[in-house]
Order: sequence, then structure tokens, then C-alpha cells
Amino acid sequence: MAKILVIDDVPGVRRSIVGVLTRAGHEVEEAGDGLAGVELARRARPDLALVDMLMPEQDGLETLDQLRQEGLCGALVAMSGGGALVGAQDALAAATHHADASMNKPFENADLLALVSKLVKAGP
Amino acid sequence: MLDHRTYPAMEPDAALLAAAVEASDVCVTIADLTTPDGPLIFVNRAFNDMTGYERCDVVGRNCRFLQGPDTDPEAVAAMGAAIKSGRSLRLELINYKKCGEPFWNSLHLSPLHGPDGAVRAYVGMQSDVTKVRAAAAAEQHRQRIEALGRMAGGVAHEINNLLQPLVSLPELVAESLPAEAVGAREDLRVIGQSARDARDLVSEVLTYTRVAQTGSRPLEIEAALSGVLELVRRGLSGRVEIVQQGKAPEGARVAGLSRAGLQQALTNLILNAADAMGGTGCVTVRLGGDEASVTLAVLDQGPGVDPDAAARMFEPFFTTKAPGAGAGLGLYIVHQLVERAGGVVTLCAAPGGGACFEMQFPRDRSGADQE
Repeated sequence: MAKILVIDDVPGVRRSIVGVLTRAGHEVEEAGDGLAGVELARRARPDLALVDMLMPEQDGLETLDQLRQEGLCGALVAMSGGGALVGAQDALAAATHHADASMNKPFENADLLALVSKLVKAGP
Repeated sequence: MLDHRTYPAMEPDAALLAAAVEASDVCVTIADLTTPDGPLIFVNRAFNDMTGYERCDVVGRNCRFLQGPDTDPEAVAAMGAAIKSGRSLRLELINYKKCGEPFWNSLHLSPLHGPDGAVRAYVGMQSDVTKVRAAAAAEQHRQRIEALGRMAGGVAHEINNLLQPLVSLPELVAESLPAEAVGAREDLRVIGQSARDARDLVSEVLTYTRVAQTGSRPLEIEAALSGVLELVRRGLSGRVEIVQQGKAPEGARVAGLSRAGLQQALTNLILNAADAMGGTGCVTVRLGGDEASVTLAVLDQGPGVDPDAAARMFEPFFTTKAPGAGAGLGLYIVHQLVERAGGVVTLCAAPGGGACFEMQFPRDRSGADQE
């Protein structure tokens, strides 16, 4: 049972992640952009944050860096739509240096739950 | 030559001025507007260098002899209008050398006024900007291809985002249904499966196109080639023959290209060639090069590439095949791989009318080798 923050600009994605994690017993907060997400993290100090890499406003890498620098989350996961030609895949590759793990969307519910368990158990 | 009685007295170093005009690599011409039809009365050495015309070929003639079939009539009209109203003009237009070769002439015309205020002459400065224009056009083309690639990547990202609820939510809904709702649960399963199939399809199209990594050390192309071609042959039908020809310069290496990248480029070019020939015939892979570059060309015996298609063929998702027969990413991948190694890929005419795709790479001059 962990406190998790989801930062993604697509409402359908947020609803899916919130639904899956809540059903598994976790406490989930959500934000639609990086700025709001960091604000939330300051108040909530989540165990884990899931951050989309390609968002308008503050981009994913900046958000990850800010969360890490301010020590706001236990663990950080970078998410991406996994488009391979350019952009999304590069963003995800870059994110591996800024996050503890990465996930390509759309991911399986079971994979998300397994990753959360692993990272939250590992601790800071 | 200029009449010193008609024009203002020259500076004491008039000889230096004249020498400077002769030494310049910019063409300088003077047309006399006091004579009917405005004939040239002076051209400098650079004019001869650029156009091939000797001074004696051109003095006394109007400079329209430089124009030809592809010269834009509007540019010609603009020149005429400017001269008629005594204005300066700057433009670029197609002119022709003495040998008939066209080139892009960047032309700057300026009026020379006499003591009575009327225009006595026109000074023209010209230079050949053919290469500069070609480079600008190539850069624009490259940026367009990059933009399309980015757009495609962006669309994939958006589709994957849209698929997330379809993968995740059916399971959650199913959990809250009563045990008897077998049909509904099956419907939900179908939704989820369909979404996964869509995810895999997007991934397949884009993964197949994921451009191979560059590799850390320069690749000796000729040494790698026969092994790579063996692998390519295995992916082809038995009725297409691949023939290797030519030699690269001794030990020539290319940076920014891996064995996997070379295989990916050749596979795409050779598959295209095989398709163009209807699945049977001979594809030639030819090595070449010089001091500065290594070339690798793929030639086929097919019908060649239609000029309209040729203008767009490196764009991602552009294809002349029927829907479903190909994603139109093969040449885009080749283009990306070659460009990443600092090279260029061009279409040339093959003898016999087929297509010839030539990849030209700059040679790597640093010390490291890739095995």
C-alpha cells in the first residue's frame, strides 16, 4: 500500500492508472501537467511518481529532475507512448538516466503493479 | 573602355581600380545605354571564368545571349522594367554558359548616371550560385523529412496513449460484474485483445523502422560487405541474384555506420530492387570511392523510378505500392542511416533504364577500426 502520484496530460491514461492502482489498494493522486504535479508532490511526498515524458507545458525530463532535486518522491518512473521513429523513444532513452525505471504505454495492468511493488519495496 | 572625358575624373589610382576589377572573382559587366539595345562594352576576367565567353565574343552584344530555354520570362521582364526606369535590381535567374550548361546567376544591376542625370550605363555584378541554391534545397528537403518523421513518432505516441484505457479498464470493469455475466466479460476481453493487437501493430510498423544504432567505431565497408550481403541473400527469394562489384579505396572506413546499419540499408535497397524487377533478376551492389569518400550503389534491372515519385521517395510513409503492400518507410530508413554517417543517398540512372541508388559516405580519418 503506497502513495503514488501520476503526472500525464491525457485524462484516459490517468483514469486507467488511477483505477488499476486504487483497485490494488494504493493511494493515488493525479496531475495533468508537470507544474501541477510538482506542486502536488511537495504537499503529498509520494512513495512513487509516474511521469509522462512528452507533455506540453513543463516537459517530462524537467519534471523528473525537479522531483529528484527537491527529494519529493521515493522512486521515479518515466512513461512514454513509445513511438520509435524519433522523439518519444529518444525521450525515454534520455529518461533512463533521470528516472529509476521506464514504461512504454500502453502497459499491462499486471506489469504496472509489479513495477510499483518492486520500486516501493526497494525504498530510497 | 570608359570615356574619361564623359565621366567624372577618376581617382589617381585608376590603374589599381581597373586591376581590382580584373582580379575580382565576382563578374563585372558594363552595358552602354546610350547605344540602341544596350550592348556590353566591358566584361572582366571573372565573366570569362564563369561563362566561358571571351571578351571578344560578347562586347557589342546585349547580354540576353546568356538566357535560354529555362530562363524565367518574368525575371527577364523585371530586368527590362528596372533598366527602363533606371532602377537597381537584384535577382537570381538561370543563364547558360558558352558550352550550353545552365547555371543560377545571382545578378545585381546598378545604374550609372551621366552629368545630365540620365542613365548612361548599367553595371552588373554576377556570381554563380548554383551550388548554394542546391545546398539550400537539400537542407529544406532534409528538414521536411525530419519533420515528417517527428510527426509520425508523435502520432504513434498519441495512439499509444489512446490505447491505454482500452488495455487497462476492461479488466477493472470485469472484476465488478456478477459471475453470470459471461457474455459481458467476453465482450470486455475482446476489447482488451483488440487494443493489444493495435498496440502490437503500431509497434511492429515503427519497430521495424527503428534505425539501427551507429556503432562506436568506424566500419571498414568493403570487409563488412560480403558478410552483410550473405545475410541479406537469406532474406530474399531464390530468384533474385545479388552480384558484388568494384572496390572501395584500400582500408576505407566510414564513421557513424555500424554493420547492423549497413545491413539495414542494403536490405531495404535490395528488397526495393527485387520488387521493382518483379521478384526475379540481378541486383548489383557496386563499391567505389576516392580520397575523400566511399560509395556503395545498388542497381537493378527494373523500370526505374518515376520522376514524380523520385521527388518524394525519401519521405516516411510515401509509397507507390498498393495499400498494405508496404509502409513506405524503407527509403526513409536508408536516408536516415546514411545521413547519420554524414553521407548522402541519391538516385542515379542505371544503364539499361533501371534504378541506381548510390550512397556516398565521407571517409573516416581517425585511427580506430571496427572488426
